[in-house]
Amino acid sequence: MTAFAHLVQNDVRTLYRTGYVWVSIAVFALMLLIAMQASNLDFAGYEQFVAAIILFDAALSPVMLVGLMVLLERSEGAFAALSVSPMPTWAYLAARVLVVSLFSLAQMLLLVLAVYDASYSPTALTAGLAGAACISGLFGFLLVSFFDDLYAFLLPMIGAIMLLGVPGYAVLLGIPQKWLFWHPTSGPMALIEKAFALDARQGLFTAVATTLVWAAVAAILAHLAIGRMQARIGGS
Amino acid sequence: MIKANGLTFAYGGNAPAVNSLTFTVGEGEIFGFLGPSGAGKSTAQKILFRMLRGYGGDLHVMGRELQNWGPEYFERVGVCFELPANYRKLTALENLRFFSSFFTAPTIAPEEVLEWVGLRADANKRVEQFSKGMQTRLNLARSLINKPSLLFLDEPTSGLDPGNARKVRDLILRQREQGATVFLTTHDMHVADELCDRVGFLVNGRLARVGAPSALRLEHSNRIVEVRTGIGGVVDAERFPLDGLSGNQRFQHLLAEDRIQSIHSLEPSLEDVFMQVTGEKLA
Repeated sequence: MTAFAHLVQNDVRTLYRTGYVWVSIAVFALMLLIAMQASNLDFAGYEQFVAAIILFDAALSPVMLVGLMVLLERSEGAFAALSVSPMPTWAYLAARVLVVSLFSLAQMLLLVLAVYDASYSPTALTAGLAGAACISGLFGFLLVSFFDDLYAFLLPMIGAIMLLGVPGYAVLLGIPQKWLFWHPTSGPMALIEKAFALDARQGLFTAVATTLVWAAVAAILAHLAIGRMQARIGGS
Repeated sequence: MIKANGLTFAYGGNAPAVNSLTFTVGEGEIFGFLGPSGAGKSTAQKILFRMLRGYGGDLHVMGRELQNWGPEYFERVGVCFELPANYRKLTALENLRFFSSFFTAPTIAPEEVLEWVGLRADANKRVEQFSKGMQTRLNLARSLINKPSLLFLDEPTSGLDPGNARKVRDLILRQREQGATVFLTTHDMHVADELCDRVGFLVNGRLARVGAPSALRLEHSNRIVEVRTGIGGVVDAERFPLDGLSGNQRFQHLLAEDRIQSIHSLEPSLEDVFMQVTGEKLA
């Protein structure tokens, strides 16, 4: 197996053994139960609301999971051991983002599949969810690099999740999306809107391009954050 | 293997934590940095395993300026931290398999390295069930898995019981026999005395002295022997200058009386030498 495959395996194993997978399944089951009650409702006219909720959820767990996993690694000293190994930093980032994004993606897709009766585009929805989860996960690395323990991280984490969900609030508050063109999750939000055949303010090409550009920017910032955390272990 | 010339590092705007360190470490040598807490030992090591950047002076490792090494540096280097540095939810075996996956060159079988450090029977136990000593040994196992040419050890016997400390010391000596260079930091004089070919005394970020432990002890010896004699269970001790001992009549008399129980040359311990040279205690 390659280093990347081992990193993916290690992250999945860590999430399983720390109990996160079971907690996640329990919470998901609860959400599904509630959502099933709403499945009889007519969503016509509420697609914007659904799109906003989906963005919030897609942004939430990647930031949280990345933060918790990195803090765990740092407290155990495993991050220090990784820092003095030939582990490729990009592989480390990519593996973790892949794992947390897949968790987020699977949960949201299953929820939509179970609840939403009207027609939607699974491709656009998957792209939007993946984009939002990936960008959020990468920003999770940046955020957690400023904190050394879980308690200090929790409140800023909530703030970061709220900031990443801003295009969703804009929908709910009727703020024109064009004002949020610059926002990291505006591209994914537009893709999610398109999935529900909404009149998104961004064209498909622009939405994809914005998502990719922000993913690249977030990846560079996450890479720098890894360097910052390694320097913090050193004491500088 | 390592050539440092005027190596200096300061955290932020503080006074230098290591100041103008100049030393060399030869290939296949065990070199130890000795000093009390806060002397700069860990800082020097962190520079050497690239956790601290922005140092001053020249630092060549394995024939190349340290800053010019890329990630391939860690293909040839092993680092053993003093504090536990493993995934606690993984077993010892899983930890080693995970870390060995990053190396491009063939690595040693994890089971074999675990055998070396006495953890073979605990290979499938999760690290969270390990004592601190077991985790220290697992750290050492991880640092050896890539057959490193250069091994950095930070307090390698810290927290180990005498039996395992012995095992670890033997393992370190075996690494040298196999051609590895070992750079260790410790404040344990026994470890330094037994393992190191040369030691450097580090105090307040400065290198006060470098030399072989035996040479340093001899250099600071008062050249005195203590002779203990016993009659009827009462032990008496007398001291004689080492120089001219063969002509010392009292000493010859004691020899002739056949009452001598022990003769010791009163060489100072490495700790005594450290205190004489630096004026500081090690603890």
